[in-house]
Amino acid sequence: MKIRQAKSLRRFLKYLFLAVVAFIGLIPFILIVLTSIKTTVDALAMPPKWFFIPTLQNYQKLIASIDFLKSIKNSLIIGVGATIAATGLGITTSYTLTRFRFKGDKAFSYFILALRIVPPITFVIPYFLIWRSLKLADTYFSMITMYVTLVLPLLIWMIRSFFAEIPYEIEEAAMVDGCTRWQTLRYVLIPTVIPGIMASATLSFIFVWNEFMFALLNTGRNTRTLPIEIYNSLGYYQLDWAKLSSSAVIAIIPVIIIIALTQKYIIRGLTMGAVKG
Amino acid sequence: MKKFGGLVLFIFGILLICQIAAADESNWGNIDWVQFKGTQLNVLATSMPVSEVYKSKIAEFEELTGIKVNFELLNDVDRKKKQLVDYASGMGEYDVANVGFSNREEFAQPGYMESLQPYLDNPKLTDKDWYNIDDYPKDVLAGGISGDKLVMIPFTAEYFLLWYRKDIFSLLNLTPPKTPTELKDVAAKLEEARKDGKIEEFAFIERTMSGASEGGWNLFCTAHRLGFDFVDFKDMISYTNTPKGIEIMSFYTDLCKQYGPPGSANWTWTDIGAAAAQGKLAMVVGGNASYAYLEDKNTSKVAGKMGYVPPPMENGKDPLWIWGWAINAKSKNKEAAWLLVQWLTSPNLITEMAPLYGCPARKSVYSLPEYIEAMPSQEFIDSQLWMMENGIDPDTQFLLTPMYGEVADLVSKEMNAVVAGIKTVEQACQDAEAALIKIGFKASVQ
Amino acid sequence: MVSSHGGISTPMRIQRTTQEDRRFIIWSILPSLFAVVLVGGVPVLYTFILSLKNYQLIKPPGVFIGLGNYIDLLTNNPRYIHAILFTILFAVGAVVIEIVIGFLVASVLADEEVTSRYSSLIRTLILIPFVVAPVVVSYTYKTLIYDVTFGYLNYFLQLVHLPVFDLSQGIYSAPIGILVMEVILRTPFVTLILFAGISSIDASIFDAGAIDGVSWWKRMYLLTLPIIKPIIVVAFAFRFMDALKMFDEIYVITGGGPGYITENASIFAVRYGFEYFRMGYAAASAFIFLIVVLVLIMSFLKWSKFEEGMA
Repeated sequence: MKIRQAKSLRRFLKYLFLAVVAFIGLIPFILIVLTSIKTTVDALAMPPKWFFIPTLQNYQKLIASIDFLKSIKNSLIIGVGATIAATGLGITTSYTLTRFRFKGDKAFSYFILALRIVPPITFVIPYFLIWRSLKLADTYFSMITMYVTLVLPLLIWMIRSFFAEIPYEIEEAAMVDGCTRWQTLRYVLIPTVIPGIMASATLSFIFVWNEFMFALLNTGRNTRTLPIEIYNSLGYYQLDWAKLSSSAVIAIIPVIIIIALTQKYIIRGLTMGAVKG
Repeated sequence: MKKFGGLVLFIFGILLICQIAAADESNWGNIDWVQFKGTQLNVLATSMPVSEVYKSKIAEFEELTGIKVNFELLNDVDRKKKQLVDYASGMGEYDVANVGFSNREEFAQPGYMESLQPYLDNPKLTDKDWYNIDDYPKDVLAGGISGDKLVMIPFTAEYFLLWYRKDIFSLLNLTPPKTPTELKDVAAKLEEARKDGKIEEFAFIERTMSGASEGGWNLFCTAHRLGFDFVDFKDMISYTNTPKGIEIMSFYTDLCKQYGPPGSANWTWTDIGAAAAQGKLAMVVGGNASYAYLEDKNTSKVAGKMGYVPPPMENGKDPLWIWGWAINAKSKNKEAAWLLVQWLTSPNLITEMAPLYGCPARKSVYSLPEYIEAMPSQEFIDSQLWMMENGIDPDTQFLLTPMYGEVADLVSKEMNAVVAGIKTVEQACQDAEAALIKIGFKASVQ
Repeated sequence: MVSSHGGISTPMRIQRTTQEDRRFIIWSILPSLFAVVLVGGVPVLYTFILSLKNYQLIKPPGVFIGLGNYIDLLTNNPRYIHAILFTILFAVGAVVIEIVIGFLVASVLADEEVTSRYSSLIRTLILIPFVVAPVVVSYTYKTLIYDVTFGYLNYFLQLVHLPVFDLSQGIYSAPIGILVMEVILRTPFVTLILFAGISSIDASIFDAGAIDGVSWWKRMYLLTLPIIKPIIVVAFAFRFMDALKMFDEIYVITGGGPGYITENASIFAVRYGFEYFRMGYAAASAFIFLIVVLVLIMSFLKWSKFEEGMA
């Protein structure tokens, strides 16, 4: 009797803990949503206006704006494109760096890492010059290429750590069964590490989705991304809270959908016939 | 008889139509607007109300000239960054861009901005009579001149005004202050009333957040209005650590510390505007361009209650701020770009747009009935006119140099430290001077 | 998935490579190498050359002055030294807290008693603040949460007669306020990664532990932690690197103030580069910072025996 009670109490506490954590994290977001359905004068009222008339005019204005919709499209194309390309490169490169030792492997790993440490200001002028000289500024190609370079370090190093979890015996077993390295990678290792790959890819996508500095200097009318539109709410004299909050809410919808979908792959125990003991 | 009458009517009708058609043509001046048909121009503008109005009207220009315009809006801080990189790289990406007064020298001295006088004087490109450049008050147009070259055409004329709550002032029987002493007096009375619970509003605030285009600008302008400059840029002397410098710094920080709402040391324009609109402030030294936000019921609780007068001054004037349109010296379509600049600042367009943004640079607009009706009050219009004629100093020396950004940033950081309670005024002035000496200034011999 | 001797999994580095292997290595590395060198290395080189000149954005092209910028930064600019120290200390503090909290949350999320649907829901929910555009969150924190006049935090504090929390006064409030915000925002990153790692651990290990009557803490310490150590190390390293580059949050909330207190390396570089126009100087500051951080990270990775764990 006592054990069962203790067990359900423990379970309840765990659920409660998670709920509290989620709530604390969501407070700013809740405020943003509330602001987006209030008029500006209500949104900034302090003491807070607990009873207010919600309005959808902020969203209506936003959805009617062609620029805003176009920027969502651009962000999706660039975000998905860069993530897929970078993930593909990341998987193969990180596997090789984990398993093989060859001349310059350490230098290469650290060089990739260094790219992540460098503050964006370092890249700003060169990219502006390079893309414009090549007449490739404001194209999907240049944006995706830059972003692939920016997220590659994250993907390579993260996936490396997941490959590191797997003992070599599994690969040996597969190769003994007649697989080539590529096949081993594709049919045995990747499925095992899917949670890690999905998690890293999700984070990379989020990074590209919200990236501002590179987008600022390299996009124009054709490839303007969502963060630029959101930042435009920062008017010279007045912060347009209405636009800021409503555009932020709309901006996260595609990402949340993607995150919710990838959660399925970030779960435990996907072993697919791995060797035990 | 009837036939004859019909003929007269017919001729009359044709003449009338010709007259209307001719009037439409001469409405835009006597130049060939379509001479650059087919060109493409890129425009970079700051995200602000007047630019949004421009953007909505740009199709009219495209129709008039056959030139395609890509009008890009960007928030101001980043617009400056992108513009800088474009200018410095020599790529000529943006043909036309808006430039703020305090950045003029930064862009003009390295030769990034095209000199506009030749275009103005070219009869093929400009109908001078129609364009009427004399409509700009002398001091306002001077804001677009660097050295002796006209590098940008102003489209707004901005300066500081004192916003004050008419209802509170009449409740407490106060008149808006005109000098710094009066300002301290009135603020003290307002604070007393607040402590007594008669009013909720805080007496006074100016920007104290650090940054050359934040508190730095307010600090330097207020000092200038009191006849003092912290720094002499021409001879590279710093007056920051002089008795007068300390006095002005004290005046500024004391006022804000004593009478500003709690937490206001971090406030930027938007926070101050929001606070005023929420009815938390009785007096603000703010810009004339923010009136729309304060008078809109969707954004402001004090619509209709705000009064506007020139800010307190003594022995000095207010530096002028203008937004102007400039042509990139590396642009590949300069003449077409000039047509655009001319159109953007034309009497026709400014007349049409003025009621929508309130602070046009052309003087004649201020007496138009549509404009008068759209403004919050005659007091507002009169204050603006007074400022444009008497209250502004276009030769504000500290803005005639590219070093303003760095200097104002350093000094404002010290000012912010005082308001944050970390340093005393004396310490702050000393540290500011030390920082200035490090970048090449000399301490004044006092 | 654990090797038969029941300890930490130790994948082995391959010593002898076959012809086929060599081809594999080249093909798998080449595209990344290409991208990284061309699109990453070349621009960095360009900026490095810039840092050796006194290049100013309003006076190009600038004269070559060798290490002049670097020397000035290191010997003549206490503001820069403060910026670097603040950046590093702040990042370390924030990330350590995030790893601890993240690990706790991830373990509970992965716990067998928590249904996978609830876990999935919570995981999506906590990622939401992480996904919202940083500038929007920063303004929300600045005005709607922390501000003394407009913010909900102080509203509630005053309701229960607690002292007010004012970011703009004093030398501690601003760093603490930003730290708390950063931790709340970024812990989901760590949680997600650690959760993926804990998820990959085969359940059979834990069953063995449960049978032996091992307590939850011991299980965590002896089993889970060692296995996911490489993941913790990498999560720490990456969170650390991102925390070092933090820009929007500080820029919006305090602009580097009060005074110079919350000015970090990124803000320093942007101010010197875009507001004082001294791009060469700013570039040099970025490179010094890069070297300092690279050394720190490499020592960290060495200390944690990350590479050896892979050997």
